[in-house]
Amino acid sequence: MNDRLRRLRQKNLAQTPEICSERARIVTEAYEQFQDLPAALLRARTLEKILREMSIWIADDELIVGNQASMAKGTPVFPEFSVDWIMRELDQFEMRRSSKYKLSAENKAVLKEVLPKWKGRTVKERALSVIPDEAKEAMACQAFLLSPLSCGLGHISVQYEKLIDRGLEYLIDELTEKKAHCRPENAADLERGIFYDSCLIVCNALIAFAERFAALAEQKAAASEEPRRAELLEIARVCRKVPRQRAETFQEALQSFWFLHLCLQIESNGHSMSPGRFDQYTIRSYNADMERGISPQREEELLGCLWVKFAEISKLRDYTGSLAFGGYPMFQNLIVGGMDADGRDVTNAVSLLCCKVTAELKLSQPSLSMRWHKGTPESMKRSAAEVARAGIGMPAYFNDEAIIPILRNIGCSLEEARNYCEVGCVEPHVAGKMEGMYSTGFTNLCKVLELAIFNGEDPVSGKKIGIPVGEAFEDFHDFYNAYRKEQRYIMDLHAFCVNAVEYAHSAMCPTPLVSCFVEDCIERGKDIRCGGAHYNYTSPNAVGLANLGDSMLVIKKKVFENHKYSMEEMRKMLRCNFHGYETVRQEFLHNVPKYGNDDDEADLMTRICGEDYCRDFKRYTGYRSASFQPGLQSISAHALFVGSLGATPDGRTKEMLVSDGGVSPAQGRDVCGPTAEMLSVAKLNHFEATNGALLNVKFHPSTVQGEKGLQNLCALTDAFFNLGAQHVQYNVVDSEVLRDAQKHPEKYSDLVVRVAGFSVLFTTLDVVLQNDIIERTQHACC
Amino acid sequence: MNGIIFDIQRFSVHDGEGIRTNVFFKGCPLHCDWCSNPESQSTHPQPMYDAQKCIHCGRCALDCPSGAIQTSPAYQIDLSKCLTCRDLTCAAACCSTALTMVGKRYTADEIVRIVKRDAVFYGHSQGGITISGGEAVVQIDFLMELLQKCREEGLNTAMETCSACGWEQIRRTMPYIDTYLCDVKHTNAQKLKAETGGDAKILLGNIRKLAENGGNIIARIPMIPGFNTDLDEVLAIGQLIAGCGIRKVELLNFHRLGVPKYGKCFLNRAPKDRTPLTAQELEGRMEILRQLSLDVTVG
Repeated sequence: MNDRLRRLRQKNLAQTPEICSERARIVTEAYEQFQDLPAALLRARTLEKILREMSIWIADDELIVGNQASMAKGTPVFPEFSVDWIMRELDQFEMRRSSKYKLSAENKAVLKEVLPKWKGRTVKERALSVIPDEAKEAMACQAFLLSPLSCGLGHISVQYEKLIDRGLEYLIDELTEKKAHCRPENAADLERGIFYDSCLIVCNALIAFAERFAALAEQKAAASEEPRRAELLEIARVCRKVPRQRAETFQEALQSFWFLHLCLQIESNGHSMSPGRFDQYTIRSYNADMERGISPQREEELLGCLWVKFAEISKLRDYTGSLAFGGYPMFQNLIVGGMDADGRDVTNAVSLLCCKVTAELKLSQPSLSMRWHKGTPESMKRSAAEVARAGIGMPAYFNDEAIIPILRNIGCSLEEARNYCEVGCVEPHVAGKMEGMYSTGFTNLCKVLELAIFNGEDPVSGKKIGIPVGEAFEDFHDFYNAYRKEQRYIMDLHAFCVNAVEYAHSAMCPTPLVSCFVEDCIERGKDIRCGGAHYNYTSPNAVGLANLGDSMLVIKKKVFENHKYSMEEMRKMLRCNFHGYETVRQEFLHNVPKYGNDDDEADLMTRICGEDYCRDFKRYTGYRSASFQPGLQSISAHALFVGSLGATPDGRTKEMLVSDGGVSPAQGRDVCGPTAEMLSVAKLNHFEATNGALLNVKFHPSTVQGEKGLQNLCALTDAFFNLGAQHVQYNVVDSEVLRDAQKHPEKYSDLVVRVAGFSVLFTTLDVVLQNDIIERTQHACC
Repeated sequence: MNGIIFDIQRFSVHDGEGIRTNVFFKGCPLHCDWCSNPESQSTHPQPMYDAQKCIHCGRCALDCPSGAIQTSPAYQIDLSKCLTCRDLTCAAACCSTALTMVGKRYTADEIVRIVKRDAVFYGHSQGGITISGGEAVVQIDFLMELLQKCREEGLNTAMETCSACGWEQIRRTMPYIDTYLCDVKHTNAQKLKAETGGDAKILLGNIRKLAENGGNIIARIPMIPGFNTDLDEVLAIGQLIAGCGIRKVELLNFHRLGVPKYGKCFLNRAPKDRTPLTAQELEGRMEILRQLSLDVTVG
C-alpha cells in the first residue's frame, strides 16, 4: 500500500456515518415543483435536480471522484420511501448502541422541516394501505420480516460494460431513436414515450453531474501545486470524457463505472447495488494502459482509490433494520474470476489485483466475491486464499458448478448462466438482465414451528397469527403436515405483502437510471419496476433452518418415536423456557443428533425442511409475473428475531439466537470440525435454494497459517464445491482478539469480520451480534 | 478385534500433510511429566468430568453400580472403585455430556468408515489418516489390522510414535505407513528415564533403525522448558536427527492446554508448571537446527 492509499484508508476508517439532509431537502422541493408529472418523469426530474444541486467535493489524494452526500460517509435521506421512522428516531440516531449516525443540529432542523410534508405521500404508506391486518399482525410478531417496506429496493447488478464500452452518448442516440418511433396515438406507445423521456433526462443529468466534477477539479487545480495540480487536471479531463464517451484508460473506466454506480445509489437508496463482474468489464482498459507502458503499481493505486470510494457509501436504516443489517453494510458485491460464455476461465490481471487491493486495504467494502470452477487457475485460488487469511471475511466463494445449473433451471440460457455474478450476499444474478427482487424479506422458520406446536398461536405474544391445526397429532408425519400448513399460510401473507410493496414502488418510484442499464427495459419501453427486465424473480429467504431441522428431529424422536414426552409436555416446557426442565433440555441438546456433524439422520431432516420451504414458496407468482425463487440465507436477521421467539424443541432457550448465515449449523452444535460441517451442508438441496445458500465457517488463524494453511484452505474449498455446495466464506479471527475488541474497541477500529453475506467493522456491531460471532463454532487446529 | 480409541478428530491439519483425521489410540508406555493428553496414558477406558457442563442432576452417581461417584461436597470419582463398565453406565446417564467415558471400543472397520467420510478432503490436500495416541504400537495387533484396511482403501497414512517399543513392532508397520512423526525428546539417557520413563537405547535406537530401513520420517521435538530447551541439548538432538539422515524437523512448543485434564480425570497429580518458549527463544532454537541443514518448522 502506498502513502496515498494509507492516508485515504486512515481517513475513511476515522469517519463515522453522518446524516446529510441535502437530498431530503432537494427531493422535497422537486416533488413540489414536478408534482403534476407522471411518476417516471417526476423521478427523472428529481434525480436530475439532485445531481445538479447537491454539494460536490474532491478530497485530497483522491483520483476517483464523486460523492454521495455533502460529507464523506454522509448518509442521504430518502423521504419518498418512508418518513415515519426517521421522524420517530431523529433524536436517537446518535444514541444507538450500534450503527450510530452523527446528526448535526442544522441537518436535524432541515429534516424536521421537510419530513412532515411527506406524511401520506410515501411508498410505505401506499403499500400498507393494501396490506391486510392479519399480515400486519404476523409481521408485528415477526413471523416474517418485510425488509423493503421503508426504503428503496436496490439489489441489482447492471450493464456497467455498456456504459464503459460505449458511453452515454451512444445510449442517448438509442433512446432518441426509440422515442422517435413511438406513436403516442397508440396508448402503449404513450407510456413508452414517457419512459424514454425519463431515461433521456437521467442520462443527460449524469453527464452534467460529471461535468460539475470536471469544473471543480479545474478550479482546484488552479489553486494547487504540482504534482497534485496535474492529477486534478487529469481528473478534469476524465470527467469531461466519461461517462459521456467510451472509456479508454483504466482511470476513465473506473471513473465512468463510479459515476453510474454512485448515481444508482442516489436514485434508489440501494443497498446491494452490486458491481458484478468488475474484472471482466475493466480489463480492456487495463490492458490498454499496459500497452501504453503504465505501471501495474499505478493501476493498483487507482483501484485502491476506488475501493475507498466504495467504503464511503452509506445508507440510513431504521433501528430494526440496523439490527438486521448490523454495522453499516452496503453489500456492493464485486465478483472476480469464473468462466466466459464458452466455459473457458477468464481470470485476468484485474481479478488478481482486486484480491490484492482488498487484502491490503482491509476495508469492509466492496464485498469481494470469487467464482470457483474446475478450470480456476491456482494463482486465482491462492490470491483468494490470501484475502481469506487477511481475516476480513472475504472473499465469498461461489461455485460455478452449482450455480450455473441453478440459473439454467430458472430459465437462463447456458451463456447467460455462465456469465452470472452475485448480488448483495449470495444471490445468483445475470447482470443487466434481471430484476430479482432480492429484498423480499425473511421467513422466521422457528416462529412458524411455534405456530404448528401451539395450534396457530404465537406463544410469545399470545396472539393467534397462524391457522388452527389442532393440538393432537397421530404421528410425526401428521405434525409435519401441520407445520407445512402454517408455513404455507405465513407464505400467503408474506407474498401478499411483497406484491403490495412492489405495487407501490412501481406506481410511485420507477427507477429510470437502473432501467437504462437492464436489458429489455429500453426494448420494451418499460421501467424495471414495472416488469421491463428480461428475467423477473421474487426472492424470499429463510432464517433459522438449522434450529428448525434440529427441533423437528427432537419432536420426531422424543415425542413420536419413543414417546418419552407428549406434545402437551413439550408445549409446557417450551412455554416456561425449559425452566425447571434443564435435564430434559440437555437431553434434547445432546441425546438427539444435530445438523452440522455429518450425521445423515439430522442432515436429512434439515434438508427436507429447507427443500419444502423452497418448494412451498415457489407456488406463487409475484409482481412483474415473477416466479418466486427462495434462498437459504439469513444475513443477520437471525439476530433480529431473537426477542420474538420462545424456546424451541432443539434445546434452544428463548435468549439464544437462531442459527446464523443460512445453512450454517446452530451455534456451537457442530462439534466435529469444518469438514463434517461442510459435508452436512453439502447434503442440503442446493439446487432448490435458487436464491443462494450461505455458509459461514470460522477459523482460528493458526489453522490457516503458512504455505500449508493456504493449501489447506484451497483444498477445503475445492472439496466442498466438488460436493455441489453453492457458497462458503471464512472468518479467520481469533476469539481472544474479538473479546479484546469488545473491551477495547478503540484499538480495533479496522477489524473487519464477516457477519453473514457481508463484512463489517466489528466494533460497529451490536453486542448481541458480537457475542454471536464469538460463539459461532471456531474451528481451531487439532 | 476391538481397539481402545480415546478420540477421533477430523480436520487435523498439524500432524502430517494436508487435511487429516487423527485417530488417538489409548495407552502409552511413557509417562512424560508434561503430557497434554493424560487421559491417553492408561490402556483402559476412564471417566472424565467437565464441571462447566455439569447441571448437577446427580444421575451419574445414582446409576453407578459400584458407588464410585460422589457429588458432594465436591464432585469426585474414586478410580479404584470404578469398573469402567462396558456399557458406560455413568456417561450414558449424563444428559449434558459433562461426564464422558474416555476410551471407546472400535473395530477397524468402524474407524475406517469414519475416516473415509472426509475422503473428498484428503484427495484435494494429500491428507489422510494420522495414527496418534498414546502410543498406537501398544495395541499392535489392532493397529496392524487397521493399517491393512487403510492400505486397502488407499488412504495416506501417518503415525505419531514415541518409539518406546520393540523394533520388531515398528518394523511390522513399515509397509503400511507413509510418514512417521517420531518424537525425539532428549539425548541423555538418565534425563530421559527420569522425566519420561523411557529407555534411550530403545527410543533412539528405533529411530535410527527406522531411518536406516528407509522410513519416511519427520522428527518432532517437544520444546519442554527445564528439560530439553537449553541450547546444547537442542544441538545434541539436532545432531542425532541429522546423523540419522532425517531432514525434516518440527518444533512443538510447550503449552498448558492439557493441565485441566489432570483434574477432570481425577488423576491426583499435576504436571510441573513451565513457561512456554517465547517466539524469539523458539527462533533461536530453530536457527541452531538450521545450521545443521535441517528443514525446521514450528508444528
